[in-house]
Amino acid sequence: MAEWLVIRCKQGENEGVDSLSLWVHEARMSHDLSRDQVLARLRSSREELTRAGVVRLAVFGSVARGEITAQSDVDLMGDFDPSKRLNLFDMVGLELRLAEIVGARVELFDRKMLKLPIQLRAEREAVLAF
Amino acid sequence: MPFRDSQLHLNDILESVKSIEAFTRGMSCESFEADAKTIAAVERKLQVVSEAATRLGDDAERLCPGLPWHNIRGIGNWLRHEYRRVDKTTIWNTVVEGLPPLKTAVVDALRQWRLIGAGERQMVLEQLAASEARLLEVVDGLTAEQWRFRETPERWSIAEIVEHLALFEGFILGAITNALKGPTEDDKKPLAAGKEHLVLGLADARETKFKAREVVRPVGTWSDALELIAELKKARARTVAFAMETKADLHGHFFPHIAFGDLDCYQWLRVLGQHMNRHVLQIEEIKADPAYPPF
Repeated sequence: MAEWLVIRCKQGENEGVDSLSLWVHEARMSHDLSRDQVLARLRSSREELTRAGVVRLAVFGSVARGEITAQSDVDLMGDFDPSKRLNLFDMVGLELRLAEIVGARVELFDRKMLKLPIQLRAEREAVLAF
Repeated sequence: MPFRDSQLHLNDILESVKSIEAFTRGMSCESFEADAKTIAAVERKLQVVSEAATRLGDDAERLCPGLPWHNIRGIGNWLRHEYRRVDKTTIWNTVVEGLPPLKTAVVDALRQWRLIGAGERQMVLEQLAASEARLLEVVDGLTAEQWRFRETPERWSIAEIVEHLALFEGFILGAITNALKGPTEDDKKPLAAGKEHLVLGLADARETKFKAREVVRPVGTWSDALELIAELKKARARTVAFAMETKADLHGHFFPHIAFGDLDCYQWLRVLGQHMNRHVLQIEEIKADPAYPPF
């Protein structure tokens, strides 16, 4: 079966979204990435990412927990090199580049900006790429 | 996208960047990070920048090539989510390093339109449309005798006036295009600036009559009335397209009017509207002549 046909409705957060087109759209963007694949892809681009100012990078959220669904974004949190003086445009660019590397939609977080209680949970489940 | 929208979006970006500069003037990274109100104000203006960049669409890259437009659009998404609030230092870095190149590029892009503002362009387009509508109305449904009627043997018929208008339109647009190829003549600006009232008064000043230049004098090229009107509409459509699209420095290029001396190319566009109005008045005079053929 084609990958994008595997649609699973997540309980809770997507309730009330009844637009089929939205589901199909998201399903087309789906990925069947395992946590290890994501980590491997990030590690293989480590050099480039370090040059761009990423000091440490970890996967967290559903991908880290192994709960991959068709709708999952890949949640990443990073520490950034202060001497690179990254600005907002750089952060957006980094997020877009990470999406290319991983092959799925990515949400990039600045680790020090994560707030309780998300922070605790994120730190607990985080798996370090590098 | 119509140029006017692009111009407005670029202006939004420029105004936002200027506000951010004003908010953060004299600040250091440390004092910025300690000032919650300024951070909130800067974030809001950055969102406006992101929204304007999104509205610019493909025009963004065309007008300001080489800027990270994808990233500029994307910051709105970062600023919207409270849970992912960006590091204050990242915002400060955006202010001091991200925005200056953006400002330079936007100022450069706007400079193309500097000398013909959105209001000016709007005005001339409206004038061109209104005068054409008046003319088409006044020549609508004329009989062949009415087209050819002359008040006196040396005066023009309505057919000749319409032919003259079509020729004049093409001639002036050609002269504008030609003048724009030359260097800008900033020294002529002060002189031309005082002539607005002459240009604007043109339509009412029927007592002052000018003799048409040889090249725009009617010779009966188009015999059929419909053909004449079609030619005139074509010529006017070319002027309108030019007035809508041009990014040239219209106020910096000049050529002389037969009576007023040097006018800049923007004034010339306005002359086209006023000149047509003037001839509408002339046609109305012809139609009011006691000897004008009846329907």
